Amino acid sequence: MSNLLLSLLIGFLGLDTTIAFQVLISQPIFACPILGWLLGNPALGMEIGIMMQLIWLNVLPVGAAVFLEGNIASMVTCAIAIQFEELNLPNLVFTAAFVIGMAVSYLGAQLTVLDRKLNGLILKLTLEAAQKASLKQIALLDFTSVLIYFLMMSALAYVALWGAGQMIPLLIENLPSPAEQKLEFVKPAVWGLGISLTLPMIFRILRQKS
Amino acid sequence: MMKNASPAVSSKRIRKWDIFRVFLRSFFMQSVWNYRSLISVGFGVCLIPIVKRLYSDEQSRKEFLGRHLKFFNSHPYMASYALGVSIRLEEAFAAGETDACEKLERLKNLLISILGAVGDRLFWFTIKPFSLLAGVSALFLLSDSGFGGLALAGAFLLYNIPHFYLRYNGILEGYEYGADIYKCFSNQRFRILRQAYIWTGAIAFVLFLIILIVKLGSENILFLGAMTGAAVLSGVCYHVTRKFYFTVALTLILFIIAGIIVA
Repeated sequence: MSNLLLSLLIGFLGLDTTIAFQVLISQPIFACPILGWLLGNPALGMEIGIMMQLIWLNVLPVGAAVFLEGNIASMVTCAIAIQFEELNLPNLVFTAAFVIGMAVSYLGAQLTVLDRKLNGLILKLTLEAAQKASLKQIALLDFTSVLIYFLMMSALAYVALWGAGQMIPLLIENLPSPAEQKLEFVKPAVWGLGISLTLPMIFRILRQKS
Repeated sequence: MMKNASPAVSSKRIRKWDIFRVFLRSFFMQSVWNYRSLISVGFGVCLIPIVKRLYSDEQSRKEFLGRHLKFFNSHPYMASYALGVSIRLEEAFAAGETDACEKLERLKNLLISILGAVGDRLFWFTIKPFSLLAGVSALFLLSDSGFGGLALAGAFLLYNIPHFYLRYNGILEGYEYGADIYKCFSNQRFRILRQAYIWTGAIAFVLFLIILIVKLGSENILFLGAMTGAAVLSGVCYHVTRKFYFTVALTLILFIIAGIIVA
């Protein structure tokens, strides 16, 4: 699948985070296996989906809070890991994909803030349309807002996938040859990271319940 | 408070099909989330089938839209209750009940905090994390056996059955109760549901941890050590600093160094 199509798919699934549907298909546990299945490696999609879910489970897109875009980040991480799987350097590829994913989560949060500011303009136009009782125009503005977010997140995913295509071959060329073995603790460390971020949340909810 | 002129008395009644169309549109409730009016545009767009049904003249439509594009916020699923109430009171207003709009404005302002609190507690802090934890455990357990899809379908339903139910039923209950909507939110409502999700998710997560430990331990005992070390280190680091990226970076760097030393 081309990077463009993949980015559009990531952008579409990303709509589910807050903009549309909200049926959880954007969550790593669902989105990564979908990408894995489409890219020909559902098992790796599931493994990365579980790992990323634990890391981003704690992030809640509630109200006006600026939240890290963990869903887009997880999809990008998963897509990169599968796309470069044939290099047979799983630790190196996973480490690079994970780092790129973290950058995407930060940039995604900034883009969400920008999108919400742009929505202020959409609100203004909607109020003007309401003054003319133009229902079609209001529905169109609503759709435009969805489209803007979709394009923003697709563009972010595209840049990340393109960046990975440039960065990973460079890393392979420049790192000393046994780098793969030296990175073998990264995946277990990410499991540990996910557990440490999830456990306090569970305890907090259990405490509140009692 | 905006005074609304009485509309030309309408005998048009809301149909089930209108309510279903509102339900479908409610999936886009947060599409125009903005810092000024929060979810009001999405809320107003959901009610377009209602304005079309109740009013055919431009003036009444303008006033209707004006009423519903003002500031509004709620949990996106629980906003269904506010939609139902709005439909009921707008229908009453269109039928000639002149104080229905003032009642609606007061009620919507009251519902902002109630629906937000109930929805956040029920969905964001219970059903969502615990459905996903149950999904994580089931997927981890079944992914090797080829039943991963089944695990995902289970997790999807676990979350979306209450989601769809409340989204649709919220509109119906709001429509049925109208101004008496507060009767729907007793303290005990959803209590059993919350408990069921909390315990299912927590037990599933413990199961997941046991399987993960066994799996990593049997693969390479050093991996298990790395996972435990990373969990402790990042747990302490995040607890102390509350800085997510710092915690991630520190963990990653330390375990890359550990890998270099061991190699």
